Amino acid sequence: MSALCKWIGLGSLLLILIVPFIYAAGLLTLAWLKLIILVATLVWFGSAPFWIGKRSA
Amino acid sequence: MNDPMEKPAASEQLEEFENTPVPARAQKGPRAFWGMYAGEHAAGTEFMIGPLFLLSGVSLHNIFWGLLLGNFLAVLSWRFVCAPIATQARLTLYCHLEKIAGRKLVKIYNLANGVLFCFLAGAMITVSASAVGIPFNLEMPALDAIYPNSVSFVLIVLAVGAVISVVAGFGYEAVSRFANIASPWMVLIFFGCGVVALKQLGVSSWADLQVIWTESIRFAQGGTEETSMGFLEVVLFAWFCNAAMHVGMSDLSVLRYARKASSGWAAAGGMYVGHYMAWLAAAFMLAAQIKLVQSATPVPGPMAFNVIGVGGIICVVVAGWTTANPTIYRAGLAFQAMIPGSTRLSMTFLAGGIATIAAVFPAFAFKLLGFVGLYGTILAPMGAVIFADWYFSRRIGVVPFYAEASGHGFSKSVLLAWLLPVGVSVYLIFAHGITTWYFPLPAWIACGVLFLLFSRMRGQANLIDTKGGQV
Repeated sequence: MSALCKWIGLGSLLLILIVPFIYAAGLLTLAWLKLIILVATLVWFGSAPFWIGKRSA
Repeated sequence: MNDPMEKPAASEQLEEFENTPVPARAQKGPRAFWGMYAGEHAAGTEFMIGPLFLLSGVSLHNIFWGLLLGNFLAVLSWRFVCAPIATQARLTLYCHLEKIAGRKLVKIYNLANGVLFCFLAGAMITVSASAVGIPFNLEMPALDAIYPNSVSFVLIVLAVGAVISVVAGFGYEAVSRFANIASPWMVLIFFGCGVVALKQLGVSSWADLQVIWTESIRFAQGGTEETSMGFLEVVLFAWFCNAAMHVGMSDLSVLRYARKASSGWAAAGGMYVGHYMAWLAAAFMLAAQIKLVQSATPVPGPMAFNVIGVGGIICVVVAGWTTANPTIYRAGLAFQAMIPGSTRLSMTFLAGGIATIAAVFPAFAFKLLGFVGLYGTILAPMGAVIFADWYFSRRIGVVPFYAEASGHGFSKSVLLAWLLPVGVSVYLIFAHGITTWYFPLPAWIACGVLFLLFSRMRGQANLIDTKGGQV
């Protein structure tokens, strides 16, 4: 479970990293960029607590 | 423990070595510090500082090169001033200072730290309120405003401040964990904001950016193009905005866990992610806002919303919250140390109350550049006492860790060495309006020299004779 969450979380971070470049290249509208970043943000905060800080807990 | 990510045994996790040197088993390699610094310095304040450079009329050349150099000097200060002492003494700032200045004087220093923390947290509450206020169409005060502009602004600030204070009082650990989760996301959101803002500015070359940047300054300054910050001022600001942490030795508490002094280079992660990329990104966000909606008010919430939408609002709230929360918590601890018999919870609420009242006055957020300079001017010189005591005391015949050796709880030498340069600096800042960033370095040097001078004058050398030089 935690390994799956880790990959999902890292994927959402990757999305947040590359989507602005796709927008800058003119391949995405601002509305879509905002939506994708919001969804990626929710996915990150939904998945990260399952693996970040798990060991110390 | 070779792997810094590997956790120590459970009993060691509970021990924070507040009054003892960090043992070898709890020391960490450099990897642990790079991430920590990068996360810590990509905070709510960055949303305010970047735009304030543009509003101060800093040229594009000066902001790029000045920040590059100033941040490098800050990294060098961490690496060569703070880290060597941290990895040899392995004590917290307070424990180290207590051995030199005495327990009572450390409490006074701690109180000054706590009060300044409250104002810093207040600026962060204002930043968070700017984002929370978006659904309510909150109109933010103008850039030169000292007082709040509406009842709704006051109510939202009070509500945000109350929530942050209560969470700092009851759920500090949960927010601390949340801050760890948020930091990599926040760094990428800052980066994304910068990329999107550049696209919105429609620039395709350095020359384009230069033109847009100059036009933005002209718009923000009502048609003129004046600057209050040249190259030197930008360098000094970048170098000393965290003066309390590096030359002020506050990060002894962090770097004492480093296996080697070279871990001090990890501060570069914080400087070039938080104080370079994030400041530039935030400045571009304001330039984009000026271009798109013709508003030069540097309010983080709407600026972030314009570039990346609701994700940006969440980032502003989280960045402000995760900065204000530990700041209020630490201020509460400082107040608790000053008032015998008080509880941590009540003092956290007191600190939160002061921070919230400060947040009602937007001047603290909008004058953040000057405030962080003042913060460094007041707190950083105490680091010079530690530096001078560590490297020069024995050479000039003064007993190192004099308060511990003599049993004194209050060192007048340290108090005078601290207050004289700080008093002169504060006088020049407030009475003559001289920029705050000029003062941390001269005040730091003066404090170290005066400390050694006063220590000699008070005849501490005698103690070396009576104790055979063994302290």
